[in-house]
Amino acid sequence: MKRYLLFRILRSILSIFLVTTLTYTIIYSLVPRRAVFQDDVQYGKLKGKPDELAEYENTAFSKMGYIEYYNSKKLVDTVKKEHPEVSGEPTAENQQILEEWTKENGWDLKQFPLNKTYYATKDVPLPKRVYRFYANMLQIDHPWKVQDPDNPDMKRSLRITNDELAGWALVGSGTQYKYQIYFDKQFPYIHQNIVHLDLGISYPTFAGRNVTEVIGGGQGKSDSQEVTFANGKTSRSSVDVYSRQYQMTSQLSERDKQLYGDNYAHTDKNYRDPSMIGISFRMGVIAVLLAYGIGIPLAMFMARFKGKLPDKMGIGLVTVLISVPSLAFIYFFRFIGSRLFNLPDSFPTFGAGDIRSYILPTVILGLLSISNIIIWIRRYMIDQQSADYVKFAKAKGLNSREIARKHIFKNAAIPIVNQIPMSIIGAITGATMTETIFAAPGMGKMLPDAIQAHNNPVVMAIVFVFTTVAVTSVLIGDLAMAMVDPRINLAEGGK
Amino acid sequence: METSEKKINDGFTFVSTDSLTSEKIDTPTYSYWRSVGRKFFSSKVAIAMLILMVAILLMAFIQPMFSGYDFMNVDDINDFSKRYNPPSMQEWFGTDKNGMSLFDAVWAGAKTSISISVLATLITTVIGVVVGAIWGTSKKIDRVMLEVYNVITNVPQLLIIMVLSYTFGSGFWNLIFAMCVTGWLNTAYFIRVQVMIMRDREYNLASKTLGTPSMRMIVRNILPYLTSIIVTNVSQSLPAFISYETFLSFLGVGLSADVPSLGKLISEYTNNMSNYPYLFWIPVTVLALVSVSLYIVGQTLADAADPRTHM
Repeated sequence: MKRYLLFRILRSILSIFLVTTLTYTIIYSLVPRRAVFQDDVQYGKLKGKPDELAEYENTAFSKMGYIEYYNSKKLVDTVKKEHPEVSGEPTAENQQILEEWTKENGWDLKQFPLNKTYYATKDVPLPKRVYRFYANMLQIDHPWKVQDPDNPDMKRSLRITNDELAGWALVGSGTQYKYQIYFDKQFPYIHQNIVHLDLGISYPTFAGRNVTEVIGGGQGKSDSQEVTFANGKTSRSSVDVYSRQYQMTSQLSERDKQLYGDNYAHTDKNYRDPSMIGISFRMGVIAVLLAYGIGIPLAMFMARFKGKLPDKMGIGLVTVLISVPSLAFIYFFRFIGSRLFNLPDSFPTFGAGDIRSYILPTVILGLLSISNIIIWIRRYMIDQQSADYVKFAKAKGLNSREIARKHIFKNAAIPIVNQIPMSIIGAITGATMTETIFAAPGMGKMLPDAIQAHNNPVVMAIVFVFTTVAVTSVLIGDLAMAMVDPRINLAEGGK
Repeated sequence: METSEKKINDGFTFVSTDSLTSEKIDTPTYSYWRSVGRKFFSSKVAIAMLILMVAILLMAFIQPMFSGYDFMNVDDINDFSKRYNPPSMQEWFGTDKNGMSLFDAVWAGAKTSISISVLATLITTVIGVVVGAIWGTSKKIDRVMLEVYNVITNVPQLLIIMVLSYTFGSGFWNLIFAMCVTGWLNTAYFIRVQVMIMRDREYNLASKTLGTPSMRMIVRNILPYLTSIIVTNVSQSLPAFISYETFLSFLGVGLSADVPSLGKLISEYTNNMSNYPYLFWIPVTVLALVSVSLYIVGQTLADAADPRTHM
């Protein structure tokens, strides 16, 4: 079993890798890179200034990993190391030297249209980009991580201390993050900053922010709390002190230095609303609980009265639910919910802080999957009803309710157990429609938004998250099934 | 002896042998399609749905030919008397903000939506059944195809469709291509499982030992058993494709701007839900009717297509 599990996990990792690579290739080779600027306001404004436009374009492409870009200054500085006589002036000698250098190193020499200074670009081939994506993905923090030329005698250590800002914590020095492991009042109470996922930088929507932060960070208005800083001052601030990161001495402001007393002054903010992943996860899990909570009893009821009126009515209902398009279904229930129960028909009406915003999208998400659950559970239950053990139980004198609850359901539940992790995932990832219609700021809505905005890094990140979650859920489903039913042996040929 | 014979003949008469009648009381003639038809038409719901489906199909494919409806036509936009007319005898489904008749719009949209789902279902089913049948019989192909399936089904289909519509542009045929390019894999996987269940039955083992080539085994021994399963799959995928096209149009990808579809109408009239509700609810109702009738007719046909129910 252990051996099977190991290989299974390895295979799962391989398929995650393959899916991500395939998606990466599709996005970065099929989506025209020009399309990035389609809805960019900044880009439109620069159309009158060709030099700045070229600079903006190339910087954007280099941020997204399409090209490597040396602007005039960097190009001249680099070439100067080999040819000290070169300068940035657009003269014939300079051009010759630069041309030689660029040809040797595989770059393309270009000129700005107006001021005629030179710059160079180099296309990054797709395999190299894929390699970079994976190479940068896992960021592991260690005491030799930060190399700051302005701070040469920094101590490098990891020790457990009672920090005045964070309480008891594993505090690092020389690390990227100050608090490597810390405790706070939020689930799961113990947090780490040692391993981080780096999925690139978002562009053009959420421009400049880390993709991980866009998906996993808070949203909405910033949340201020009383914070006592290192210099003893207490003020209302929205900084998340646990996220203190090393700030290069050259960029460190005097105020930051006073507030924190050291270089760890770069912080994230606290936000009032949960992250995209958080919103999708909450709605998804509750929707699944709801779907099974209603679906299982209904299916059991239908199976017990197979072929009679309750069963026929149920089948009729399920047929309608299956065949009506989800879009029409969602609108119909949204209409009912807002008319009869006075619930908001759009998420932002009351915002993420109000429970009323969640009710309709969650309930509808649950109802969408209910017909499938009913069909299959009814099928399993009916298949079990003719089994020998049921006849035996009947002969022993158990009534049909007892048999259905205690015997049939236990056996019918085995395939259901396998499905539950997948449904949770399905609810999270499949919420694209409900989240779009209700304008809920979750991951499901983010996927079409990001594709439409040509935000390739975010698309990649969402695909990566979805795939990881999907592959894991299949694995957990199989393990859960093997746990519930001891007859099932996942590994081939015994243990 | 004579008395006993008389006793036996009491109440009985001798009949001459009639070879013609004896033929008739032999096993009744069985025609597969006639039995399918009889079984199908014994369900009242199915007949009602069939009539509804035919009516909708005829309306969707004939009405747009006469109405001359053009999705991009805004001739009447300045004629205030034509705008937002509620349903009446003149304008059956009312008019929208451009003064266009919703009746024309709905049928033109239904034509596109139905065409897309029928074509996409046809393509995915044909490819899916052919590939799935081979996939299910060959264990070597199975090993490779399983990994291909695992990888491709994990790439969000929405992403593939959206990216393809960016690269090849949006339009009717491009959307069908984008839907089919990964869609066939799911049908193939479904057929693979069904074929595998049939593959190792005794009669196939017997057939194998008699030296039947595998192509013949698939076509003659296995596929006929799967008729009802394939029809069920078709009846489920028709509404699924309609639903999917609606969703894509709602997101604004897939079809180009000048092609009307039910999804596009729904997404366009979403804003009118509170002030002019008929604009929104009529396309939704038509969409629901199309899907429900297609699904129920398909399901009943699938039941009827199963020879085990003919007895």
